[in-house]
Amino acid sequence: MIILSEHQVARVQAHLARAGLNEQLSTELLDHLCCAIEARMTTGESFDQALSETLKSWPIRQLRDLQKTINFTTKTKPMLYRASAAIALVAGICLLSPFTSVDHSAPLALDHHDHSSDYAADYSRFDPPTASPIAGVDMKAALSSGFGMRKHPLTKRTTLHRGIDLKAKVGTPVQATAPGKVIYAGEDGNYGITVRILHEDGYVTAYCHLSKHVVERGDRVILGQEIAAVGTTGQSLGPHLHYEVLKDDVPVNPLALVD
Amino acid sequence: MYSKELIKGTLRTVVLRLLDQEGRLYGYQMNKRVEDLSDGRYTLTEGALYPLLHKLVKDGLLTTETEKVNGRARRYYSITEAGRAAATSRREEFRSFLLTMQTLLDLKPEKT
Repeated sequence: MIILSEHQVARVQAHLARAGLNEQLSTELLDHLCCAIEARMTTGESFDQALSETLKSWPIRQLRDLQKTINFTTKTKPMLYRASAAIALVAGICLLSPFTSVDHSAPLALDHHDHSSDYAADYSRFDPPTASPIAGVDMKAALSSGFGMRKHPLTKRTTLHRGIDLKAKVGTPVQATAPGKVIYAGEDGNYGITVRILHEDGYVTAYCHLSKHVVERGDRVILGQEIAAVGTTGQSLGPHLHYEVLKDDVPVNPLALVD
Repeated sequence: MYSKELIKGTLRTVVLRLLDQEGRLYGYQMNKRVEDLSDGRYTLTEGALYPLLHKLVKDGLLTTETEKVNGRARRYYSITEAGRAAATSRREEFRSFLLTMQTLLDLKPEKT
């Protein structure tokens, strides 16, 4: 296995540097190009040969285009989406606000406490899901099994209960606890019929043991939208809703978010 | 080699499935793996692969970590649970898509 020397890596880096890429992408592509060159050299090419062949398919312009594409898909698009949501929210608040028609000095008074910047930040920040997945039912009141280590009622083993169980009759409507996009809707082993919603800021909510789902993968949902009905599918002892909140893939206690 | 359109439409499904199976890979490795598995007929162009990877990270389907390997920084991608769910449902969707195409295009299995 051939490994490029520091000097050789520097020559590849010099090519990338001409494209003026950001550091993260430049580092990533450096590794990629070096791997490609090493693979060519393994087949018998000299370093110079492998370098020029590899760089042929990576002209400077293409490198710049790549960075533009990445920036567009990961930054501009979501920013446009968020900006339009923020504008809609501000417009809504202005319309409903009692201050707008009564006294224009009132909202200005807030500025004295220097809250203005906090408010601006709040519009773009995503609040963690705090609503109850069953409309009109308090999560604490309907709780039959909480979050955390517990002895599993079926397997009798002590494991982490990744969500909370809420008592409910079969067919009770289940609602989305925050706006987001459905990333899974269907049968999922022990979880039974499951709906998973991806929210902003790395939050995912999961609704399990359902009797049916009324949204499909790819659907956008709003807070309070009906997505499914309570059931007892999968590994379940009776009708209930198993509700999970994940933050960056780690289960968190949904009740802790409410407090 | 397959046409750009076909690859573009299936890239996300392929990358998610690959990571679902392997758990953790870096960009060049994905490229190589897919090329080997498809006998060079399915080629991930870097111009499409990296924007997709960065987008999937942003969407919470993948996470990354950087390690020093052979003196170079290497960025590994791992799949999250949300990513696994997406991989499964995309794969299922493609399965039924294949069946539909078989009917639409009247494809009969080739005799050997």
